[in-house]
Amino acid sequence: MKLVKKLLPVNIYDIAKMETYLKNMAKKGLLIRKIGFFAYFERKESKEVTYRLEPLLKNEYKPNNDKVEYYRNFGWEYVCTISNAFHIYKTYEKEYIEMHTDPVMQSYTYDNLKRKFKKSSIITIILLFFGVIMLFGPIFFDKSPILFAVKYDDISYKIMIILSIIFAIKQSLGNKRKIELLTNKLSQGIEIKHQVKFKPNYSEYVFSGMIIIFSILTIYSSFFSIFNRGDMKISQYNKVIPTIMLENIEGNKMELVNESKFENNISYRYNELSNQIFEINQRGKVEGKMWNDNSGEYSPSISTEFYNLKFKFFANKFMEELMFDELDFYRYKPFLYNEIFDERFNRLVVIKQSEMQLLFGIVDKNVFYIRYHGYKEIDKNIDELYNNIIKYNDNL
Amino acid sequence: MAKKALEVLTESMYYILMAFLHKEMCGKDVVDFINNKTNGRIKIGPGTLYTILAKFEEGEFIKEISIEGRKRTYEITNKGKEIFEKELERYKLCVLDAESEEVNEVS
Repeated sequence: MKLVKKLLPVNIYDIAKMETYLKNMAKKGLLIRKIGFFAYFERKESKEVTYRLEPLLKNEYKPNNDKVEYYRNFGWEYVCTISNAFHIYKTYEKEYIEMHTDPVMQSYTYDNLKRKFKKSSIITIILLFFGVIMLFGPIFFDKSPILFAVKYDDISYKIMIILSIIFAIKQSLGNKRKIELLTNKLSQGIEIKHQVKFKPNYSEYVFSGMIIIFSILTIYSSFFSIFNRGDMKISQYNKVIPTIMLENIEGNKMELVNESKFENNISYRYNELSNQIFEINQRGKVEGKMWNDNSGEYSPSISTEFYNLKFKFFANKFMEELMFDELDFYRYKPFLYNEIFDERFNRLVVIKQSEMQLLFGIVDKNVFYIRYHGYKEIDKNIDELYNNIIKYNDNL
Repeated sequence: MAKKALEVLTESMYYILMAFLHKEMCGKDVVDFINNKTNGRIKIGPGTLYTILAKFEEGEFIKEISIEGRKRTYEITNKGKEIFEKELERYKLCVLDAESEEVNEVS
């Protein structure tokens, strides 16, 4: 028999609303058959049916045959069990004997459910505590949270986890509260209401939908990340490289060194906060030329980190953190700090210390950090850098 | 939890325990007994009866003595009788207190 599937417009722990909803549906000719994520109805003729929800007892998953028979003798038929929390019974009789006639005693039938909620509330609160520490620890404790997020983080995954935990806590505490209020009334001898007016509420589906969307985003992001990464020699890369080329600084006398796979290498990857992250390493040597301290053959190098960020608004903060993080290595000796005002750049900083020159800058959503080790002046190649960034952006 | 549930007997619990005083009974007999005894004033729903019988059995106020098909028969224990007597005394005192109050008001 084909069942009619519908979204459940009430929380099952709003017992009166739930019983009213099922009764109203029966009047429309839809008799409940089972409830999971959706409610499934059997289409029959319109009937006056009364439904009751009864909480599961300890270690009870379905009512035993004795109980089912027992209730049937009083006109109550077992329909189904929902969410491992309630059995649903129905009666077609108009002059029926109410299932529970002693509110105080009825309050004890909720003991098992209350214990479950207590356990699940404790578990979800512990989960939230560790979840927040683990997922957002770097933001709370790291000196460079944005840098950490752009370089290593997986934002949609974190949002999904936190949403799931918040959803679980909201559900657990909210439902716990509902049952507590109900049992408090019952234990005072106040009978449970079975008919109430209610407005449809689909918030649980909205939450579930959000979690599904973020799960899909996480999966998409993981696949996108896998297919949008690369690692190769610069000579094999046939697109615009958004940095200064070493040979353009050092001139013709320099030859590139390829002693390891990391030299003259370009790697790029994707991150949810950055469309592309480049790490480019260039190294060369000039035959016959030595470092001034005679420590060996002159071998200049450039290392570049280039970030094409998704959003412009955190570019400045990101660059600050990148600079703060990198300068930590150079803090033992004095260095020269120059903020260059060039209208083409949103920001441009040159830092010099002995034969080391660092270049930090922002062009729109692009943030770069270039570390040059050699005797030439890197700021003379700023035009080249700017042009390459613009070309890179045009080719995106 | 069972102990807490049985500290004070509700009206339904009291009548159900009363039903077992003179003979063993199954659930349906209990309902019929209470219906006759109270002329239908006290209604016992299946959920209430099932829960109370389970609690009474757990608290050793009654014990199951036979199962025929799906019919389970119980009898009251000495502990159950004691509880019933104790509760009866309490009700009697309540009635006496209420009646003496009524007499004072009249005078």
